[in-house]
Amino acid sequence: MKLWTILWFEIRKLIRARVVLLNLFLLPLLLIFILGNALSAVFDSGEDIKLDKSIVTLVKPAGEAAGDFGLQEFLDSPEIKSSIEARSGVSREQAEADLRSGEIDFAVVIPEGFEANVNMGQPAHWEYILGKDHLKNHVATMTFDAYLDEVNRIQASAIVLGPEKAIPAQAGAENNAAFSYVENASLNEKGDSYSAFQYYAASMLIMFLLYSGLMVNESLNSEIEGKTLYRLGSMPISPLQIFVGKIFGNSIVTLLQAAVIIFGTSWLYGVKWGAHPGYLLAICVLVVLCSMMLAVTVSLLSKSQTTANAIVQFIIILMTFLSGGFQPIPVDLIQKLSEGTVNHWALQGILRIMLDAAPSEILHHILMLSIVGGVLLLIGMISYRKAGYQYE
Amino acid sequence: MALVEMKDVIKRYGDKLSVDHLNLSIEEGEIFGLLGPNGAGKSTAINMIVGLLRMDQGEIRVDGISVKEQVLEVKRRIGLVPQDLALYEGMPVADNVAFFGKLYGLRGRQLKERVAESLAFVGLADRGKELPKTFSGGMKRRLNIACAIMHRPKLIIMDEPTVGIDPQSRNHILESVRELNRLGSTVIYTSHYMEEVSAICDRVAIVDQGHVIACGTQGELRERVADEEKIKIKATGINDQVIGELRMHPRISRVMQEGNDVELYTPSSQNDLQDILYICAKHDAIIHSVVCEQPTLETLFLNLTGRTLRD
Repeated sequence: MKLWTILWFEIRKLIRARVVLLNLFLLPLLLIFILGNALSAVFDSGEDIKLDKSIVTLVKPAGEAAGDFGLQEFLDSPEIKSSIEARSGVSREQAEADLRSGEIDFAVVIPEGFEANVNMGQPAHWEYILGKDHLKNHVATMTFDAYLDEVNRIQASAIVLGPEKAIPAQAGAENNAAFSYVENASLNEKGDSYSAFQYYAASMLIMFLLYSGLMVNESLNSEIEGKTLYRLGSMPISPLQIFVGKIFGNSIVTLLQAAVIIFGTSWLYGVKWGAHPGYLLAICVLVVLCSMMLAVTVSLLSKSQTTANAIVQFIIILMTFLSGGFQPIPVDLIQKLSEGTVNHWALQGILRIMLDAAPSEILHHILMLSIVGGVLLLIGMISYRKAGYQYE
Repeated sequence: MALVEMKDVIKRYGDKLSVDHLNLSIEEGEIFGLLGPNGAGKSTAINMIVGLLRMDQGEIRVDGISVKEQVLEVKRRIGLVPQDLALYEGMPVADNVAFFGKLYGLRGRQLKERVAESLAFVGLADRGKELPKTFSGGMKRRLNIACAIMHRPKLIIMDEPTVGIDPQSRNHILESVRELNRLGSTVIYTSHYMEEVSAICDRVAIVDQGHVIACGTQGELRERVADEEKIKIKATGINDQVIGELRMHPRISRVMQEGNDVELYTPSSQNDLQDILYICAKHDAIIHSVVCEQPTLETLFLNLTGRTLRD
């Protein structure tokens, strides 16, 4: 009962302060708006991109009917035809010259003995000569890789199952016009990418949830500085009840903040948060737990509150940076380091929820976050036992 | 019956002995004064009574309950008025009192009544909706008291409750202490202002360096320094010869000089004043004023420790 008294008093105290209200509920929405607009160019999936057709030269070896594993049917399929215009090339040198002059965008050189190699069950490889346009190179590479993968698959089937069973498979490959190399989907709904607003809504949500630890630190410290903890210490309530009541009170306000961010961004900016509110809530609760434990541990073990706040702020900013919270950082080392942060697991979890990924994939991130939260909870409990929450 | 019993209580901070074999027995229904200079161990003793500090040795019982064994039970019986203001300045006055009341288990109508009663008691009945940060120091001190009495504790501990306030608020607080006592609470009142303790306390313990150096009713304590009347003289022309001759006087125990002010201690000012004035006049000292004071607790403290309470 006394724990509830502390908890509700804490909530009332926070809600009464106008500055706190502005920082808690208005600032995140404003920040998401600014970042979402300013950095939307970083994300190429904010809007559908219209791809220009790539002109591709196919250089076949002389005297071989290479690539006749349904290649023509593949290239003639409407989906491929809309993005690739295939031309026959004379030689590698000519193709290189055409690429330099900009006459073509991409060239494919089919090596000699390709057909024989494929028939013998050797892996099929083609040589790609890239052009100047990165996006067109990417589209062409993906298209021909997909074709070769299919050829390799059919040949592997023929070797393993025998030619008579492989024929239907080959026939299937030849009818690849119906095969879904390209799937049309709407972004943000069952898509495989997210918008800048979605990304920053998720990353700012996590960052603000992490800052809730500072809020509880501030509250715990204000009781000491305002001497009210001294009075509370003389009352029939244990320091642990005060401590836990304050953490719970701040956690509830923080979860309210999360709800405002989620519903606010959804309503104001049209951010899609996916169809798994339960998973989203679980991630928010776990991030709040991590935040509270991180902050109180640092606070309990620090000599001064100023030092504790500086350390916690540094950790939050560092974790947000490493996990790409300000801008995705495609550097291997940083991505590896980010796996040790709370933000990484929370952000990736939320992004998967937004993209309606498989529950097992989302649960993996929630599990990892739970492990981090569990470890921090343990450290927090040990720190409390060691330092306690005392009036001086 | 003793409401508070402290037996051989010891508290150390590192190598420093803050409370040294402290023994106290405070009777139910009395106003008990703890008098001593800053750092004497008064606050440490109080913190141990309310269970804020663990004693290293000894035993404390409040209303027969051991602080060591049932600290929460002890806390229910005590209302502590801390030396420092312990209020939520951004929360309305009534909310402050109600919050602390809830922690004592008060709820609903009873809580509302007690909040109103406590605020009325300290003269803040019509200020319940205001914020403490808008209050003067004296009003905050009064609110500090209201927060400690709303659960009607058996024992009220007031730790220097009049520090830094105006005389009007001080008088209000002292009157409140008397009134609380009349209503049945036992009060422990700590101060280093001898005048306050003299004005309201039934019994006084003088504490120095962590232990009680004297304890009893004010009459009993004054009895111990009955032969220590103080004569204060303001005069010009007081030289070493005058001071020397005064010190030679057989009944003058001490002579202290600071510029034109001289303090002398004698068993009877009535008998010795004539001699003192004669010595001054003999050496052409011009006397501006003479004040004779009966022995006080301050005198006793000076007598016992060689220091004043404000040293």
